[in-house]
Amino acid sequence: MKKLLIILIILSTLMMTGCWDMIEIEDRIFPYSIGVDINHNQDKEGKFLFTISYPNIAAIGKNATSEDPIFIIDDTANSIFELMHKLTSRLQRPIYLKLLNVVLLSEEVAKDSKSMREIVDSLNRDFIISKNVQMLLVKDNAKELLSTKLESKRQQAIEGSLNSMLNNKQKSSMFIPINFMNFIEATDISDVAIVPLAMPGEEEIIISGGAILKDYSLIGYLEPMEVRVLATMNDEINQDTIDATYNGADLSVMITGVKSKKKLINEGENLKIKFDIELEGHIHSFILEPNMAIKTGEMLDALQNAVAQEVKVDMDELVKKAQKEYGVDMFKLRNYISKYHPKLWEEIQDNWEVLYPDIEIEVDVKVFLRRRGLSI
Amino acid sequence: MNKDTKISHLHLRGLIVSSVIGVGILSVPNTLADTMGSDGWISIIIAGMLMIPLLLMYNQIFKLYPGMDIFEIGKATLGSFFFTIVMIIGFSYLIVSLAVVIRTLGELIKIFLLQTTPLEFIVITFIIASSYIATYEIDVIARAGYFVYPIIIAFAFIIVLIAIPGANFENILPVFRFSFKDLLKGTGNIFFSFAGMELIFFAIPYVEDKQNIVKSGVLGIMTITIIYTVIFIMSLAHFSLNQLEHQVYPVLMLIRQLDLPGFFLENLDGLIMALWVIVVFSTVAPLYFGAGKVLSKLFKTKSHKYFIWALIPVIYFIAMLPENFIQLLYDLRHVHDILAVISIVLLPLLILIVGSIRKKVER
Amino acid sequence: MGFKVSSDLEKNLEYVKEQLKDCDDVIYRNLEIGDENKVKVSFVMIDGLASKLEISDFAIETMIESSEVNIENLNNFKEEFLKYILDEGISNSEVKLVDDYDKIFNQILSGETLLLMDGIDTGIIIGTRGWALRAINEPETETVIRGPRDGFTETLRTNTTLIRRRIKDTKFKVKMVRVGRRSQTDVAIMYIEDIVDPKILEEVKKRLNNIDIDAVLDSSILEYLVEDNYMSIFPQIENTERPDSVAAALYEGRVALIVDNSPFALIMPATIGTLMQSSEDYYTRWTEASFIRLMRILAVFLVILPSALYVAITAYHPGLLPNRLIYYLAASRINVPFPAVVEAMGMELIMEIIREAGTRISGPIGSTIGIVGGLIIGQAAVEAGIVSNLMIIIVALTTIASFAIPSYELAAALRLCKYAFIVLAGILGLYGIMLGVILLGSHIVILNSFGVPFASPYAGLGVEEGDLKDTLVKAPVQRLWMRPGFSNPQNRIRMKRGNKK
Repeated sequence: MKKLLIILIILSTLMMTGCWDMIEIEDRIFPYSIGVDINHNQDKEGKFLFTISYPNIAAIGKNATSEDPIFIIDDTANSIFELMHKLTSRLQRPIYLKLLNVVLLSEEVAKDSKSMREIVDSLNRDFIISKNVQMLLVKDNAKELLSTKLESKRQQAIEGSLNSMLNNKQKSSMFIPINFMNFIEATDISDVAIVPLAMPGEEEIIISGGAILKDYSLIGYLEPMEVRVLATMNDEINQDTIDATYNGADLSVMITGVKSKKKLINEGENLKIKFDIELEGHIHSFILEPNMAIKTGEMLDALQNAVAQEVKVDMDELVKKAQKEYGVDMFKLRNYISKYHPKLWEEIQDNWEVLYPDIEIEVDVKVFLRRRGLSI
Repeated sequence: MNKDTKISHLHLRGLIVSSVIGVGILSVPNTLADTMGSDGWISIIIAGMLMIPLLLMYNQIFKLYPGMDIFEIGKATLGSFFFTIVMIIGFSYLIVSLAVVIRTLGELIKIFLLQTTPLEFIVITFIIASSYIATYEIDVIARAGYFVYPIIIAFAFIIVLIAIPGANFENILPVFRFSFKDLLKGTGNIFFSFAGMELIFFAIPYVEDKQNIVKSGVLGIMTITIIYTVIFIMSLAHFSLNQLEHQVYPVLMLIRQLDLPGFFLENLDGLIMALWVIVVFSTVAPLYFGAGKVLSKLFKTKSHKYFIWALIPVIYFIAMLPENFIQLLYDLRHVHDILAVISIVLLPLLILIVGSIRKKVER
Repeated sequence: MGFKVSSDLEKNLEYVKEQLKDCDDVIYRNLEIGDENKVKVSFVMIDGLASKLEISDFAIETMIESSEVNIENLNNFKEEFLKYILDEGISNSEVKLVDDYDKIFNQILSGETLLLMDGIDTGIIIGTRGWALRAINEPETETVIRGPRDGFTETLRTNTTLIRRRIKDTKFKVKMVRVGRRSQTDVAIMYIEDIVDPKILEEVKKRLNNIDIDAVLDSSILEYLVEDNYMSIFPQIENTERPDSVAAALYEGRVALIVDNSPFALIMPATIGTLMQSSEDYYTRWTEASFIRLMRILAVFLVILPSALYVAITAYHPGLLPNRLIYYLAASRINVPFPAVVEAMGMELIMEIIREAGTRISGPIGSTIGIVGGLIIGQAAVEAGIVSNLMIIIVALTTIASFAIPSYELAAALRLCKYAFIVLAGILGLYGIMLGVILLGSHIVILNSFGVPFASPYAGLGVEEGDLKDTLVKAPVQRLWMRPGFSNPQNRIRMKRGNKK
């Protein structure tokens, strides 16, 4: 009996200790996205202007009691966590960052390497924020982008429209989404990361193209076309649509499989790396003309070559841009050499920055069109 | 020696696996990335193989003196006085081990699950919860170890399954780019993640099926080695080497990464943390039992129950000793490592040598 | 130990009447037999316990008819007279000579008839037990779809018969003991001699011997007196109303106890493996039986965990759920005034009350009240906005899951655990739940049942022998050619191995 009493006393003291972490789920705010701008307002303290969008819980579910699906709130602060602190004076409930989906960085912020590094570190060190947050770069102003009104309310209420757009299954390869972990990894491996670019439209948000961030600092942009080409060379996408012309007619091809292999040729004085790209797909649209019917092997070969040629031209251009204009290892060559040819890497690693722009990169594209659809 | 307690050799295997796999598993990739880089798995396999002669050594001690438990053997070989010193060293090792493990667990719970709850509370509740089973004999604890053993394997399995979709096995390259010095350092580091095996000292004499001890033990060691290797390789495949050096708990980050909305598998870190608490418990239970038992033999009492309770504040005090993570990871760990080497390798070796000599002399 | 029968009939009758004073249901039938020198004899029996028909037809009638006894030979009077009575006077099948009044009273109070004869210092006990008993019908607590439908009744002899019919082996032993100072309840210890582990048998006998209590009214009282750890929430002895379950257990090398006045037989040792088995598993095909067994294990988790997890996730770690669920969960709780702990605890307790109310009222009304009450109250509560609808689903789930567990006592134990887990989750969230799992797991592993670890075969004995194939799943009969190992039977082979055809 006495033992029971002691146990009961211990238990009751336990219960009186107060449940420190207990916050009911409906009492929390779950922001989806956070936008980072540079603060230009002299009157307010803080280096950055942060904008947060979070869903209105009362508007979800069967008995929706409120109309606005999303709330937007902004404030200035020196770091994300100071922001949380500041917002407690304006919001009724504590913020819980676990469901954060997207981090938007404005151009200005991205150009400033120090600011970027601070933001990246805070995202990395925090234990609550998921490391799968998507990174987005915004032309002009993140706050403006987030305030854009959007059409479909239900969807955005649950997932946040930016996040849904980025996760859109029908990958168009106009942009390649990158999450925070990959962002850091890419910068670690090859000093450069490509972040999708977003800009506000009339009543919508447009995400296309990419921003080149070298060593956490913005140095240039990529057109959507270039992003697609880059992703193909890096073996990052599997689906694509390519347009080419043949005999004056427009040939649309749907690519369903991409294989990209790198090979090191010539270790001597001049490094040469060859890309073997194989695209596999089928013909989507051509032209309905009798002498353009696809009936022979030669015709098919010609079509394939046309597409391959188109792709190769784009790729060569991108290579030139990457090497000469930006001097940035977008093709993960460093990774390749250090992993597959470690001895060579040990020799050249100190001179990599100098050697890179002069590496001869040859691109060889083969296209295989397996099917032609239902008509000839 | 209590003739009534009996353990099956399967329980012994469960005990080995569950005692060793505890807090070490979370930082295995980290410690190795520093020294051996992407070849860390080689260190793991070597360290695992080194455990086997250790196991044989332990078994040999008991073969020399059948029917006696470690305390009786110790007294018979080294004499009361020296053995008392040995027991005190062993006890300190067990207590420090307990403190390190429980404190690490507390820190992790605080980070991932209960951010504002005071660490003291987390630590003390864990100690109290573990004390319940520690008051019983080794056969009960072996049973608990055997219960947790499949959970550990499932744990490793889940981690592998989760990691495969995003794995980039290229990261394992380049291979074989380390020096012999690196190998020594790496293997040395990893050795401490295998600590826990010495707990079978309390169990071997009670195993019924003597033939199978070595077989089961080796299987257990192999299981541990495989699990560590697999986890290392998966962590490496997910994070590049660079990241691995900077992440503090790569295994947990691996779990958090998983995001397959289509399969409704998101935010699995909670599940893994929950399972992991049980895994740590299976490490703590035999350690705690051991500490209590050693004390009870030192003071020549019949039951170690009271010592278990008396140890609650002691463990709590030592666990709360490091003021911050630096002191925990670098200072307390250091003390633990030194005591570990002494208790796991040197002292048993001493007993074995003296014991063999004595036996030879007796003939 | 006490009074012995004296030769004087009057003295005997006086003593008996004094002991059985104020028991107006005792019948005294006096007769005089013999031709010329009549000898007085008396029958003593208890109305209702003794079958009056049997006595009147077989003893009294026979005695009255055959009155040709020659009482001359006084020397061997006792011998001769007894011989005469036993050979010709009484034609019942069961007769015994008893001269100790303690034993005699025990017999009379059990329904036998006492025959006292003047001049003889021995009494004859005639076996005339026969009282009104319940017919053998299907056990209400354990129904099966396929399998035998007879269940135990409150009469010990009927029950042992039901088992005898299933074990026609000379090695099947039925040993009687009496427990309870005043109730003198008959208890039958049953076991198969060459299979059972003698140590377990010894232990059972020892513990039964050590009982010193007034009355044992039901087998459950015996269960709680005899088990290893009465403080534990888990039962360590199985009970069942089905004779086929008992017979199966005996074949496994376990010991069974049948207690008079109770239709529940006790089986020991019991482990968590056996408590999760139902006799139906053996009568359905192995594929279905395996699936159902796995579902039962799932049911165990479904009893303890969902409410606690709800509390932990809602109040402490919303981040543990998949993203979409979090919003819906938050939305469903938006207007609930109570914190999750209170909501969970409250609904679970209300469900308990409803369930208890359902059992009190038997028949169709009872089950309807359970369902209707639950539904209505739940629905109304959600409409009023004081609980979230997810909570109702969880509460219904936990309650129904508890019915999927074969052993009622085990299910009750787990239901209690559920509340402890809710409290722990309320204090420390998921970590609290894990602490609860540690404590519960420790307890299961520590518990023993007559020397057999309770956690067998998962963490105790029997793993080496492959018991898992009959607990975790149900292997086909062809694979179960050995008896399970946890009860340490002497004789392990039940079937010829590789019995394909």
